[in-house]
Amino acid sequence: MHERAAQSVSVHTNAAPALVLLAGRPNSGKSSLFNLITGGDAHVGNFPGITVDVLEARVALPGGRAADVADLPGFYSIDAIVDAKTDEGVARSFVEQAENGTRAWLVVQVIDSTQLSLGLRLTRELAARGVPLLVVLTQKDVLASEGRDIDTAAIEREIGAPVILVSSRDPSAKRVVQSAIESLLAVDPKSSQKQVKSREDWKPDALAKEALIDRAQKNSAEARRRTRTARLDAWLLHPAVGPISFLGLMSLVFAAVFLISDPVTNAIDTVNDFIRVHLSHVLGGGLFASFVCNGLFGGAGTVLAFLPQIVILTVAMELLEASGYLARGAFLVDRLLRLLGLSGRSFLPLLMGHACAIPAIASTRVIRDPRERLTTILVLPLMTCSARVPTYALVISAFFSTHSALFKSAIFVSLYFIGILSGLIASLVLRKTAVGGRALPLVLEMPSYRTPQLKAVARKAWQSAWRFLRDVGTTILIVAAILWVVLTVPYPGAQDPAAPPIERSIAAHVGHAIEPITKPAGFDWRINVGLIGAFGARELMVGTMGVIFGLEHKSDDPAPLAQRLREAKRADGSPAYSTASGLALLAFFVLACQCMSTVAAIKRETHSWRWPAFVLAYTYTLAYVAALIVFQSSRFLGFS
Amino acid sequence: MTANSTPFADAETASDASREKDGVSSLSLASISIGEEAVVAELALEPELAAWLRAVGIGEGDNVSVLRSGAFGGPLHVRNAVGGEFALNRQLAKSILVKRV
Repeated sequence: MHERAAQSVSVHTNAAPALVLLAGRPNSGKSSLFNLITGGDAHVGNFPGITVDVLEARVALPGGRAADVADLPGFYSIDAIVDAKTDEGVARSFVEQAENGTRAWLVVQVIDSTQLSLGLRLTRELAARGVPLLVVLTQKDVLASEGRDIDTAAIEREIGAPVILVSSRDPSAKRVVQSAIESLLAVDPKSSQKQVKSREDWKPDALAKEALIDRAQKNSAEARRRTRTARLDAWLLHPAVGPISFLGLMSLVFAAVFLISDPVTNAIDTVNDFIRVHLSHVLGGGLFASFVCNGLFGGAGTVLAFLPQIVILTVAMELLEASGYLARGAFLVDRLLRLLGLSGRSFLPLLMGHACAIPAIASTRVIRDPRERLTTILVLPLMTCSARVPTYALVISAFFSTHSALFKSAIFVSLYFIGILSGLIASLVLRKTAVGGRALPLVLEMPSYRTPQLKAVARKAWQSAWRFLRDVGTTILIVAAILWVVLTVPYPGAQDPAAPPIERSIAAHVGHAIEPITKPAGFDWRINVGLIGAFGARELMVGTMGVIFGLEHKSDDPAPLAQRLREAKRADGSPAYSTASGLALLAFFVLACQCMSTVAAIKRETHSWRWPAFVLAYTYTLAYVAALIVFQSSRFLGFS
Repeated sequence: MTANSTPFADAETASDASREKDGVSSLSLASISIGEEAVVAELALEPELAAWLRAVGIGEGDNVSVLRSGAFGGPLHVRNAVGGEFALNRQLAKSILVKRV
């Protein structure tokens, strides 16, 4: 307890940093306040027992004391919690850990002062729990512009904790909040619990009414804000216009993702290839050079190629979320998702899954119902993530080269819808079987529309980019290294030393060995090697096929590879692949969870190996069966 | 649908007549008309869900109104007295018993 006993400033500087937990409802302005008091210099904190990314920043308080400020996930209630793994559960376990720990700590509850009475409900729960509490009311500037103010002393009297009113846009507020934090930390928590005695019977609504000083016309500003939201909702939630504008907006998001990220990805590819080529010159030939250039740099290039899409989609999601539209989207699709055992809350993760399943799996924490959350996690790998795109492009250009561009795009679009459809069917089946049971109904706040704060959006984008690099980067690098070994190291006792190295490799041996099983689905040993390459990360398929067909350094351009695939012959001289094999390969790629990063993310979120193993088993089984059916039936129909 | 077996069976199985007898309103949030104001009389829900609703301002004694309802039996768009707006599943709304103001 020596950290807490510190009384004077000089001792404070030596004490362990205090823990400041920033708490509040979603959309309460917590992120803006966090940026303000930490100067935006945050990193993802490492908290024992907490698997969720929580932003944290160390702050030197004005009196010299250090504090770690943690930005907790938004929550409405600390008492009413269904699942410990959701945002609300995570926030509570933070408070519980702080309660049981030895560090000095403090909860700073952020309340949007334009919604005072809603925020005070959480205050009542926190006060009743007896946590050391500071209440920060934000949006002082908005209130002031509306001729309103808040009697903070009146609130302090009732809740028994200090209350300050600030504007997160006002730089001087930083010191005000920091000083308030510091002086509260200086109070011995034991004595403070005695001093801070709240009247237990206070009512949030009545208190909010009492504390709000309205100098202007009563409620006129609030009425204006409400009118604006109501007017927008009249259109955006209109039975006919609503769904149309929803589809339009979603198409816009995806168009933006592809239009903006494509040139960026190409630029990253060019730089990566440039480094690779030069590095291989510097390192000379040999196994080590091949490992570094093809294995490691190849893997890194794959990771970086997807980064722009992840960042752009995250920005788009954050803009939709911060503007208040995302809740409207959830409202509109709730009925449809309910047919499949999900709810509107699954909408955000399912949408994100179209860029990458990893952040999407993390975003399922907004789903309060544990069963619905698990179902969403299990079907997310079926959504058409951006990593599938290069393989689709390769297969389509190789097997449908004679068809029109329109036909090819139609195949592309239908692959997206097949992904969505199979995900929805899978969730329906899962809800009736493996994840059956009662469903928590949708309860979702519909916040007022507001202009997003760009700083907070940028911070979220940075956070997701970092998480993607950390999680996916490590996995893909490991996978790429292993892949290099199985593609390069000869299988012990390989017969023909004159054959190209790839044909003597471990992968080729396995590819040949499983050919009897995969042949009925239209896959020969070379495609099998590609699928082995794609097991860890599906985007490695194109590169692996490039290696098999002797095109190591041109893996990013599918055209030469597509031509090789078309020209490939069997031993008897007949073409190795037909349109039927192309269709079967597409069917396989739509369904198989060829992504170890996703498997790792599922393990992290479900805290067991059971569900990631389940996902691998069910998606690969589906993929094989689908490829088999597609191959056999399209041959029957005469595609050759 | 087994997947949607509800955590609020209580309100659905109890007949309206028996509730009337107990002096509790049989009117639910799902049955009041759009724009009409009502006051929550009882949350016939499991405790955690009820606690959450109380925490967001849809508890006993709170005034609520339905702004719109989603197509094909979709969720209800509900506003409470202090300006909070929520999308509520229609089945859930059936378990929020209200009285007309």
